[in-house]
Amino acid sequence: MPLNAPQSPSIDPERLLSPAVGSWWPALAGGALVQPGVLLGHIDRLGTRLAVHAGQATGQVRELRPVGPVQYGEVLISLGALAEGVASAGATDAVTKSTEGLVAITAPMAGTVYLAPSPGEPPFAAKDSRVERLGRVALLEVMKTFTPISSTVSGTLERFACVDGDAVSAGDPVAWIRPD
Amino acid sequence: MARTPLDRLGSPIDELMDAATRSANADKMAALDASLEEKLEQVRAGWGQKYLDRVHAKGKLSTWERAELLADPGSEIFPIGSLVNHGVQFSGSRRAAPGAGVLTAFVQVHGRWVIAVANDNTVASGSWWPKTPEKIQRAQEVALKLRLPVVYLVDCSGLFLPEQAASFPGRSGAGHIFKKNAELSANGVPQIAGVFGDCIAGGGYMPLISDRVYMTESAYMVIAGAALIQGAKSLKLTSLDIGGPEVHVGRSGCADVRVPDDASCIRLIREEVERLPSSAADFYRHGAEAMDPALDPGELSAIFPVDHRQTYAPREVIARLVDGSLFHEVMADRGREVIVGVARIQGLWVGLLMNNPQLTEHPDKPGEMRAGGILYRDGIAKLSAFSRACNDDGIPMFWLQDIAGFDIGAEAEAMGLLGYGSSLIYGISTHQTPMFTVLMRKASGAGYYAMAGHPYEPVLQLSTPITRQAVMEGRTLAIAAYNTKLDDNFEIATEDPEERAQIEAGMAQTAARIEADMDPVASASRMDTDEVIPLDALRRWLEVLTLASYQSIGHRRIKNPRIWSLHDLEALLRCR
Repeated sequence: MPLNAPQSPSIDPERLLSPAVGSWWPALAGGALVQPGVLLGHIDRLGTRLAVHAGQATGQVRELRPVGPVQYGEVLISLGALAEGVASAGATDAVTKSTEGLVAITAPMAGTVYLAPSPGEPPFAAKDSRVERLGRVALLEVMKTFTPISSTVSGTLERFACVDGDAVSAGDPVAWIRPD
Repeated sequence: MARTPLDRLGSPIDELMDAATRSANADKMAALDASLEEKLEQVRAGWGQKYLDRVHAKGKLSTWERAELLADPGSEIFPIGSLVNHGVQFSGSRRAAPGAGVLTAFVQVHGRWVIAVANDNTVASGSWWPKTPEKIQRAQEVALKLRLPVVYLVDCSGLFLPEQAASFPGRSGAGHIFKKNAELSANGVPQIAGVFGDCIAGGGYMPLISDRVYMTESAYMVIAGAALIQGAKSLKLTSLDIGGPEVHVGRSGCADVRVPDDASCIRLIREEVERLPSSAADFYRHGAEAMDPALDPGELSAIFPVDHRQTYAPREVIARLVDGSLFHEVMADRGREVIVGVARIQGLWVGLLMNNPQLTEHPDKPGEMRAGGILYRDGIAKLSAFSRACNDDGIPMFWLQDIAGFDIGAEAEAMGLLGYGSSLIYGISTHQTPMFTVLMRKASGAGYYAMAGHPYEPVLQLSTPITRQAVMEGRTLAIAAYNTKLDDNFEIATEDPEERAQIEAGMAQTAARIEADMDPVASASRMDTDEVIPLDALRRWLEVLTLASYQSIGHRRIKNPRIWSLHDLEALLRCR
């Protein structure tokens, strides 16, 4: 596997372990929600940056390893069970409802999600509507910059994981698509 | 080894966006392009058919007909300053002055690019309106910087006198054109003039410093025309008697060659241009061949969201501008809010310096994202270092702006952005290698200056139909103007409904006025930008400007790529 390909830590329901030796830079804060695919941080190794994603882990960050050197297999993040009301309503919805066979369209970074191009205009996509691959699902606003969030697959928009104006973290699902 | 490996950039458009987004963007852009084209068509039409018929009745050609005859068959004419005076009504005239009554353009003649300056003889007999002198001088400046020959197609009845106060006395008054004539001559730039009709006063002076002056049988050049002579000296003479070709070619020596008509005159001017050295561009290709971009430049209209707050993929833009979509990015891992690198256009090396509108990660705070289209410390330093290298190596630079401004706040000041910004400004103020600026979308605040905006005298500055030039956006300015009436959340503080309504109306009015001022056509009318072009035309413009930059030899440094200082920069920055 190339060094700069995204990697996941070793699977452990409560502890996410470092997949490499290097310098650890977390991308989450304590208490953050961890869901499958979320970016946890980076490990810089010999000038190459390794993105570390959550794999299949779910939970809330209980302990976070601070910035600094890390050895292979050392604990990066300890997870606790999801606390009631921690996540946004949409995100909790996404975790508790079945996601089997669905593809999550996720936020590429933390920001505010808007489901329509501007107030008063129709939304990019509606629940149960057809969505093409690369079709616009939402806009993510960060510091007045609007980044498109597009579907990675063609299919049916099963449900939204957030409502218009929700704050989301990097990797949070925005919508779930049932692929063709 | 000092090599410049090129990477293929870009993805097919259907890998970038779905058909719905693509057509939504393209439709909005098409509407803006159509509105622009309508305005340009009005300029090309001058004062319309009646005046065109009058010109033809005298056995003469119109200005555009002359320009088209001058250009190589099948080549495109690239006008600059088309929209100068657009929307301006002068008190002394019932009619407007489309294009300020003069066509200035890049025209290809026998494979060489020349700057043509052609009075519009369908607009008040080619007279000079307010801003006509400035427009002609601007074209002369472009020619001087690139050492391009200038062809004057003179048909000018002098100043439009009811507005003389605005075009006669100042530093850029009509007389400054003749100073520019002299500067061009002093710098060895060939100038060729054809005199086609009434050339009174300024119209008489403009051709004289030219190296070759042709006169048609219907042309005359006079310090003062027949009417003025009659008034001042009570003499009844025709203007042709006073200063026709008989006088100036036969006796005074103020012109060189007498020709029967417009078409003959243009043909002889083309022959003069052919006697000049051919373009050095092919030599400077260093064996490379010109290539089209691998991806269609016409897709730029779909890639750019018209909404200036929405991001797009900047490398997809580069992929549609450069030969083969091949790019050598420099310092890619540093200052990611800007993208710099070299590529070929028409087989010739150019440097691209572009804002990245996308969010980028804070270099010192992993996981923290920062807004794109803003200059932070590393991006500013990157622009400075790269542009210095291009200047040293003689690589023409294209500054592709979509910028909201410099970063502000405690971190920005503590990092010394004022200092880094000043260093960048020093660089762009003193570079000798040609620089061109394209305001692709936002051109705001000091970022517009620091990215080689108009005040820093790039050879040319182009805008697009979605360009927005301003210190700040309308809404932001309205907040600043009504600051004392707003609370900490920028909401109107007062509870009094009447006062509240007044403040709301005032803020809306301020915001609307700023929006109107930001319009690229308004900017072009004021000469705050040189030309507004559709995004689809950008690649063609870059081709012309690149070819023009490499046409003339000897006046500027052009290093061969083996000895570029750019390689030193990259060798030192490379990760070990």
